[in-house]
Amino acid sequence: MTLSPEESINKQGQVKVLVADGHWLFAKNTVTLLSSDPRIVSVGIAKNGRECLDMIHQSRPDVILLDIRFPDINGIKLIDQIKIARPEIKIIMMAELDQDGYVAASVKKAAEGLLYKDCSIREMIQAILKVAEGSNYYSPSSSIFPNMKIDFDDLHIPAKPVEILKKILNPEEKEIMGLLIKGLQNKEIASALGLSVRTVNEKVNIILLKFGVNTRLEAVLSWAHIKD
Amino acid sequence: MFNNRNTYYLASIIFIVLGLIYFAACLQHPYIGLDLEKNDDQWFVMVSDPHGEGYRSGIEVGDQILKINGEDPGNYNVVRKWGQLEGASTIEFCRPGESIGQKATIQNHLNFLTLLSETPLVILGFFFWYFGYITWFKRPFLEQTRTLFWMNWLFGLATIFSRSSARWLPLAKELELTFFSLAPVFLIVFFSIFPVKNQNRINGFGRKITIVLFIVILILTALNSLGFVQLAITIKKLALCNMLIGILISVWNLSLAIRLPKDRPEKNEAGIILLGMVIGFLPSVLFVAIPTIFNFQLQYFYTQIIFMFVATVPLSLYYIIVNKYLHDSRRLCETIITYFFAGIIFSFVLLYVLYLTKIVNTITTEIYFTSFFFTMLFIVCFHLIRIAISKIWRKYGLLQKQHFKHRIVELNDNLTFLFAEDRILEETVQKLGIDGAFIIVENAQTGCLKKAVGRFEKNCKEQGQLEEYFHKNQSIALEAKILPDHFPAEIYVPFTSHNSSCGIFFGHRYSRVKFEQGELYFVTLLAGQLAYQLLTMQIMEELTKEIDFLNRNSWNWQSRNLGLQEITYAMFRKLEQERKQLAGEISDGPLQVSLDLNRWLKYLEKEGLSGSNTLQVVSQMRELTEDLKYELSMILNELRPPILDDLGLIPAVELLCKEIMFKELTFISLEKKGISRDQRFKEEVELTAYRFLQKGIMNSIKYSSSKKQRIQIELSGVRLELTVSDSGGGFDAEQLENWLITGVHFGLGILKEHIERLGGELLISSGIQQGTTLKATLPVN
Repeated sequence: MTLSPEESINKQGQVKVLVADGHWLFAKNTVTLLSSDPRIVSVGIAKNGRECLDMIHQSRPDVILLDIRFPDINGIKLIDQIKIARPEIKIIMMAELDQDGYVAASVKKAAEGLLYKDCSIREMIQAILKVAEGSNYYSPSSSIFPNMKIDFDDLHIPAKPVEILKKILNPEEKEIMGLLIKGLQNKEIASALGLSVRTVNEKVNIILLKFGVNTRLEAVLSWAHIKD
Repeated sequence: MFNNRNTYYLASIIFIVLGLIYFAACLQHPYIGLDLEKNDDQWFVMVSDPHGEGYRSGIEVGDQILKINGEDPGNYNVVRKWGQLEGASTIEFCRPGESIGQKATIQNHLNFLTLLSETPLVILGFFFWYFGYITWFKRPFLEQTRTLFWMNWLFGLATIFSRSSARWLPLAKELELTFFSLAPVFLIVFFSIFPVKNQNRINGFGRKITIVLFIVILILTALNSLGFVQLAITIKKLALCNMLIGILISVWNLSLAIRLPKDRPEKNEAGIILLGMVIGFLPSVLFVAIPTIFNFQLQYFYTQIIFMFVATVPLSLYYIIVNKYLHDSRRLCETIITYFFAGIIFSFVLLYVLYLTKIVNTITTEIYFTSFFFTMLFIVCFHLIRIAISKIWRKYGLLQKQHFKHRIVELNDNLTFLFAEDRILEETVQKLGIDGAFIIVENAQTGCLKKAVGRFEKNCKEQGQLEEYFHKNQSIALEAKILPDHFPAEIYVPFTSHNSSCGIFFGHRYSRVKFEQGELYFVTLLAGQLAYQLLTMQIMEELTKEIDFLNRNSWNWQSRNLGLQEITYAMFRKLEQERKQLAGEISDGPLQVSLDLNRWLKYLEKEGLSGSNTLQVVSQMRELTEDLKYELSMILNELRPPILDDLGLIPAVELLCKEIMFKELTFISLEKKGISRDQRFKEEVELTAYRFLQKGIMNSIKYSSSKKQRIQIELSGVRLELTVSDSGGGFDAEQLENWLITGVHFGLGILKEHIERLGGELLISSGIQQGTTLKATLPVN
């Protein structure tokens, strides 16, 4: 689906965006959502890597919203090819899940930005404009895992003074901690407390953050110190 | 006619009747034993047999016979026709130079001495017939035995009549001549078909000559008997010539057969007959036939004794026809010649001793032959008695020691039942009573085999000495040798077969009794058997090894196959189980959330966005959507983590470790070597590596009490090495194979197959309280 060249010429000063995504419905809705902002114009949708490479010549987009996975090629590899063909084009990676590693990968591949697919349209527009201006935009990770290296041989338990740990947790978190220390799985805790697994997940993550530890075991061991 | 059995019975009866009648008649008539010759109408004594009544009455060679029974000798029939003086009762004679005649009255002394002197030849005659008959009786369908029967029949009759004719019994002389001159014809016929058929020109010619001579003799005898001619001496000479021709052609036939190749049984048969013929006929030819033909009289010669040797002829023929397996003729010949020469030497010594002790005053040929004869008789008798006694002893077990041959035979039987090589040799050594044995077998394929027992067992020096000898004295023929005294072994038997060359050494006897030449034969046999057994065993051993190997291989394949079947079945179960689990997760999680979500949307649709709690509902829906996303991403992650495809192995493994540490109570340390974060491999390799680490970590968390897992990922060259180790309880590594297939490590079993299919390998090392280490190596090019 290509827009006519006249149209793109007519609206000078607008940011031309190419949506490269194999998932047609998602791509179409992205275009629809983007159309609400007059500063941005969609120049087309590429359903696979080949189409994407064709369209960067035809439509001359300023920014590509690049999905990470196509039927014919890996999105990461496609970055290289796009950069070789048209180095001036800015690329925003679209990751499905906010998992660790994607940001690092896009930085390494010199993609200008990274968004998660479920980000708000506001964030997306902001990111496109920011990238078009020449800066980078990496979506702040909602990741449950802090991106830091773990040194397994150098663990300090408890990570924080006992007095602080005692005051850190609210009653709900203390209850969860009590179950954690019994060795229960998140699913079991979820059904015990009548919460969704995701909620338990998040709460455990918060506990780890509060304790300043990276792993469940460290948290449990720290809590065991408090009990003593 | 000759095929009818009755003919043979009839001929036998005739023989017996004639034999008995003439024998009885012989005893009734005195034997005068004078041969006369006519000279100027006067009769002179030419031969005076010392056993005859004439000699005993004082008639000597050269005496003139004046009157027989009161009549002129010329009128006396026997004298006129045959020149023999027999059947007379009174004889008047005078010595040369004397004019007064003396009168001698012939009496018949029927005493033991007469009987003794007459019996041997009759027995010889019966001997001929008996062996002819028994041979025919045992092998009646052979042409040879039928011919033999008739030949022996004729020889037997001729022998019987020779005594009767000497007494001038009716027809005796004529019958003797007839049978005697017909016998050579049969002799030639017989030896032209036995031991090999040999119908050549000489045999045909000889047969014709003897037949012609036989007819001539027959005619002359008839004419002589009727008184038309007086050619008694000529007829006698002709008959002897005929016999000589027969014997010579027979011997010639036999010597042809003797030149046959070694493996033909006829060669040995011919050898034995020839030996019999030589022993039988040679004395008679030398001392009777030739002197008679050439008018050379040997005085006082015991022709009866000489004739006894002829008995060896029917005996040897009987022996070889009736028996299938014979003695070696060369050995027999050797033995006889040895005894013969021993006899000659001993008889000289004996004679000299007799002369010195003055028992004998003069040494003459006759005395020497007497001495020789008695020596031979002594030797033969001694030999026979020795055999008889040793047989008796053996029969009644008087000999405590087992006989050597017997032991060898027993050993030979036992050998086939002994299965251990060493035991064969030990048994041999023990049975032979020797101090050791050493065997070398050299084979181009299987190499050199050495076995030693007894004194050689730990004696490398002696082994070396014998081995050196073996290399210098290899031989194809299996022939035992007695080694010189300074050798550690006594007997050496070389042997070559099936591209192996063997040497067998036998040590000395404990008894210090040397092996005899005669025993070598058996030792050789034994050695052959021994070598054969050892070779067979060697081959069997190799075959056993091969079979073992094949067996093991096939067992391995079988168990592997069985394992694969198990795995296939288990995989199917696992797949279904996972599908069920997935369906459960989807219906419990995302489906429920989407149902709830749908409910809220319907509520919104109905109430409109204007409702007071719209914001709350929307926020609720967002929560639900977040749940939905979370649930789906979890399922997706479990099915196939997208990060693995998107970013590669290392980011995926890092995420995996963090997730596990977040959800489980454990530490995981991850070490990387020679590999960067964005290093990509083939999809298959990445997935297998990821699954291996995932499975390894999860197994360790579930089944070991270890709270720490150590992961190492190392890329060295073209191999990716992945290690998961813990310090937990571990398990018995021997049980592993089973567990991989059926037990808790089933997933690892499948992974193992998968890794091996990719050309890698999976090693599991574990022990009770030693922790577990899983190590997978994958080729990455």
